[in-house]
Amino acid sequence: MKGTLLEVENLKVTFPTEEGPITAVDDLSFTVGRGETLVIVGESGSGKSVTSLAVMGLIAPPGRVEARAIRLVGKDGRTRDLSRLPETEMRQIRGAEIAMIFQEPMTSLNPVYTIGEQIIEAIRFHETMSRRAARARAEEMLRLLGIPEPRRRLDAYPHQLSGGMRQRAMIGMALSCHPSLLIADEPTTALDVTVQAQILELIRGLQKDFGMAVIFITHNLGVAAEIADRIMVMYAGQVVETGSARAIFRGTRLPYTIGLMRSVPRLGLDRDSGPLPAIQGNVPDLRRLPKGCRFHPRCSWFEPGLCDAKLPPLEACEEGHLVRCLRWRKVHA
Amino acid sequence: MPLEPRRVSGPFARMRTSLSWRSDRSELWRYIGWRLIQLAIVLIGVSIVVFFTMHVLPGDVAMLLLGDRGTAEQLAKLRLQLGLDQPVVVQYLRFVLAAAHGDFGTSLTSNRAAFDDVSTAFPVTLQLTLAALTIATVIGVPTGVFASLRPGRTFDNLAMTFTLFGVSMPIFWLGLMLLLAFGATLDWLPIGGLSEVGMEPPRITGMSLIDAALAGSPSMFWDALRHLILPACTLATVPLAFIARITRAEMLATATQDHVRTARAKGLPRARVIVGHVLRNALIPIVTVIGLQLGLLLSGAVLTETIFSLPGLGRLMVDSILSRDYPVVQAGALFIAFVFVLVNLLVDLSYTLLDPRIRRA
Repeated sequence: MKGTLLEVENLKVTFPTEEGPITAVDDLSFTVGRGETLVIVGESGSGKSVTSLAVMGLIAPPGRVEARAIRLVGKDGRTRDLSRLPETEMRQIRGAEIAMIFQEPMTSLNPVYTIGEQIIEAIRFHETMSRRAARARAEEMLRLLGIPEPRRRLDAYPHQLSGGMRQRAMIGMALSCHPSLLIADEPTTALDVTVQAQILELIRGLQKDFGMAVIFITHNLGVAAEIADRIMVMYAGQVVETGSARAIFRGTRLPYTIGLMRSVPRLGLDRDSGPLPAIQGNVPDLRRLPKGCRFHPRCSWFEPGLCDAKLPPLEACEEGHLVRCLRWRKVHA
Repeated sequence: MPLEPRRVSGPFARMRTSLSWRSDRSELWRYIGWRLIQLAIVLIGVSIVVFFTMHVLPGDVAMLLLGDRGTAEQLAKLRLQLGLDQPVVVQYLRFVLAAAHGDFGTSLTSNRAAFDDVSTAFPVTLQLTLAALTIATVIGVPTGVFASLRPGRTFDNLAMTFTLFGVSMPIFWLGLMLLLAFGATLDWLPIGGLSEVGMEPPRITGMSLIDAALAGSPSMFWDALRHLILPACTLATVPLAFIARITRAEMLATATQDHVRTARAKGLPRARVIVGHVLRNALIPIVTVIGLQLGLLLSGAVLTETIFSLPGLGRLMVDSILSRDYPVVQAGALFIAFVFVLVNLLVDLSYTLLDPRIRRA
């Protein structure tokens, strides 16, 4: 790791509703190092996608983003605070410095343009380049992504490609301007398991080739284990645990993460071992958050009078490993 | 009435776009061929309905023609001459046979071939319709786009209020008011007709603007244009409001789609995202609406043509029905059905340009 690339300080995203504003992301701080892979893990509604959209400046009104700072070190070496950047300058960041790929490659590509048109559009907006040169670059990207017959594929429409091909095209589009940070929002969730593995492998390879940092969002701890340098677990809009992948998989001290790990299906589990353990209950409604620790109604280490009284702070249980639990000393997998 | 707006929202548009002809040209031609067969079926249906409706209506055509002074002998002679003594089915078959040869009979009022009356009136309606739809599209689409950019804000609210008035406007009232204000009171524009006496361009296409342009006379062109403004604005009101509302709704629906987020994530400027990605994708249902309006308006803008004394198809049809001039009614109805189906076919074919998913499924 060669220093910090992105530093998010005290990010808060709120959306107004008829019953008052809800806080989708609450006081979130994290950093991403150059070339590092940070995996954000959480259930639906935990705020992981909102976090990534906030970094991209893509939260549409009436959503509100507040942050002390979202600092990004640009390719030119300058540090910019994205939370205070005017929209016109933010556009220069999007696609060129930070690129993003999304979960559903069918709906995330525009059905009425060819793959080539969509990639070339991105390149030509960020770099002064002839259409021909941009097309050559696009073709090169598709080749790099292992798409057969890249020249012909450039003229294909999204609906003419398979899911895996579409996601490759999407990645090609995202990487076509050589961003220093790629945000991947559940890029493999909509794909077959075998294709999933190929895409993960591809992202990992490209990351190395391009020296690019990745924020990878997933609800799947198995995927996280595959690619993470560091992991950040989110619950109800907050970070509840963060640390190196190794520290967390070896010795998490958070009841929520333990629950998530237990509910990952493994080969070798058969019917005799009973149903797959699941965390009881549901993610809390952000408009009616439980008092105290937000996870306590679902927690098997819950201690009345303690956990439902005070919101736990993030505490270091070991060097670089933070957990948000009042009872972490007693918790073990 | 031709201006009854038909709501064409998402599902309907989708239904139309799901026509699946496959990759190659032969499929496309097969599709067009099938649609032309359908057209023939529609024409047969329309001919039956119109023919029999005209014949079950009370009143005797022969008596109507001769008036009160006709003797019984004269009546019988005329009936024989018109073939009215034959059974209705025989009359219908005779009519179809003749019509297949392009003979729709002779107008009972003008004594010209019935189809000539129709083909003289049609260009007037065509010009009026094209002018009205151009106004409606050029103003309606941008209005809808701008309204959708800031939903719930001042411009949106104003636009939606005005267009609500627009879609529910009784156009005979609007036409009369425009006529009163700009024609009679302010005297800025002529109150009716296609041109001033003596300013009629030589008839080539039958459309006064084009004929004036072809005649190379700026004064004739200006005169024809002045005569077109009020009726075109009147006729444009309802489609304009309708197009603006559809555009706004489709823009809002498209703007929340995933691929628009992708376009923004690429760093594209806002204008490019809105025009190139949102509007471009919202265009398919908008074109459907414009196409449907075209078909409806072409079938005769009766009210507008009547108010502004334009010798168009709508007015011809009404006059012919009132005078029981059934050859003209039959020719007109068949012609309208033909145009309507043809326009719909063209709209469907335009989807292949707009939506590659249809082009090569």
